Amino acid sequence: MALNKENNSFVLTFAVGMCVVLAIALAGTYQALSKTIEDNELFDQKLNVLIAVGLHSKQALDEGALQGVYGEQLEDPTQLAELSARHAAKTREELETLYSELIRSEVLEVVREEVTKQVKRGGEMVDLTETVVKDLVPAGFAVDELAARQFEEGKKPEAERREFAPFYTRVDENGAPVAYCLPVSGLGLWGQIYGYLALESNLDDVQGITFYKHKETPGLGGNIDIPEWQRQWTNKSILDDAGEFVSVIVKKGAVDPSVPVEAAHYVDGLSGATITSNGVTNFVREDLQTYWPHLQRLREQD
Amino acid sequence: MTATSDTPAVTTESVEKTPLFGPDEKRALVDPMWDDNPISLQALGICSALAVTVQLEQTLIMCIAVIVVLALSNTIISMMRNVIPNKIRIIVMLTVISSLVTLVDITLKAFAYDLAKGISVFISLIVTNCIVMGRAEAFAMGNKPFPSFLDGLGNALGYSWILMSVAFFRELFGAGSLFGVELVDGSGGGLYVNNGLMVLAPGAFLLLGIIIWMQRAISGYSESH
Repeated sequence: MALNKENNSFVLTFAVGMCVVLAIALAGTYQALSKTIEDNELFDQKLNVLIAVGLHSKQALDEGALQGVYGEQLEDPTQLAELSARHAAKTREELETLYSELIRSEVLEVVREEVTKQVKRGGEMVDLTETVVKDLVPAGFAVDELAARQFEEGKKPEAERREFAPFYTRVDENGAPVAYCLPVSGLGLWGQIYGYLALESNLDDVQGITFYKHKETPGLGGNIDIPEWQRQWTNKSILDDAGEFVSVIVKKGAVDPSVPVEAAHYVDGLSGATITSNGVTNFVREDLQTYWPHLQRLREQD
Repeated sequence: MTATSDTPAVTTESVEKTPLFGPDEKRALVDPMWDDNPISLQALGICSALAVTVQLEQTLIMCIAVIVVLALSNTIISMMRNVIPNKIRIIVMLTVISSLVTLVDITLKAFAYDLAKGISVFISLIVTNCIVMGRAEAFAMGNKPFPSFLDGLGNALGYSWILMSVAFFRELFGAGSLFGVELVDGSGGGLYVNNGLMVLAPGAFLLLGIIIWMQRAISGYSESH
């Protein structure tokens, strides 16, 4: 009997068969390559920690080009040496070595507690309970294990889940801290944005910021990747003159350098990407608040 | 009586002894590169011609991805053409194409992670590139695997040379470099200042328009008929 390919049962068998074959082919390929892809992703995160703490840049620039990018800031010879080291082209092995020599990483566990506050609502006092970070304690394992541990925690019921927070310190040749780096992530317009924020050793000035994974619109919110925009974050302070926490804010529009508050705490907004800009402002503030007890402890040690 | 004519078809073919690379095959490969170019004459695939032509390196990866996907999708769909039920043929094509695109995307992430990160979005969008679906429906469904492979290859190459020319001018005038190698200092200190228009989509539109105009003028194409 001739094969009737317009028969409904044939159509159904064909569709199911094709899906199974293609699914097996795709799953097989992914299984074969997933190890390499995961390695690449881990390396990319290390690379971005290096960029945030000022040890590397995606722009390979020679000294002449540095003058063009940084302008008159380059009078100090030590600064020039540091910047030309940052902008030198490096191989993957060199970057791995740089990371293992100059970056110390640790994992902290976030301990939260519920705080009940009396808040005035509609003329009467009501109790409002919110969860705040009480402290950060060493989690007792290395950053390499973080992904596996977080995966394990994800299986537990929400109330029992432990929250882990990686923390990176850039040290000099003698082991003294030069900069601190923490991951920042949160919602942009289309999805989660992942990045790193680095603070200088005074734990006030920003050393740098990078983003390594996001789904923002190329050309609009995607401009958070642009080095020129990221460079604006450098030397902004997260504390005001009185030492109170203000974070760094992405402004709507351009920063007016004549206003002291804006010059100290604001960066230019991304045109056409208000939701991305606000998202960055919000998650940077929230993540800094999460790490606050730890940052405060480091400040007191000095 | 649709699929019963298998046996006679095979015998006539073996009697005729058609050459492996005859004039028909040559036409399938060469026509789409110039006389029937998918971008400049059929105006398909314009989206990626505007989106991924800022840097030559990215454009090259995009072109290789399209060449692989288009050649393979045409071949696979042509091999299945006699069993694909007519009712669901578009979905079948789309499934094959999107699987191939996912394969290319995974491979890029494993072996060219940095580049893949920058153009992953556009690689995924090859699924919706009209050229790929268009060739599957217009050519692969009615031709044997080898000519279909050549047709896919030809169309992808026709698409690629236009993209590469747009990217060449955009990177040269927009960033003063080629393949990331700086040729002139365009940051403002030298003789030339980088043209910001070239980096943005409107610049690509203008360039693409000029290239299409020149290509049509030389190939003598006219829309009047």
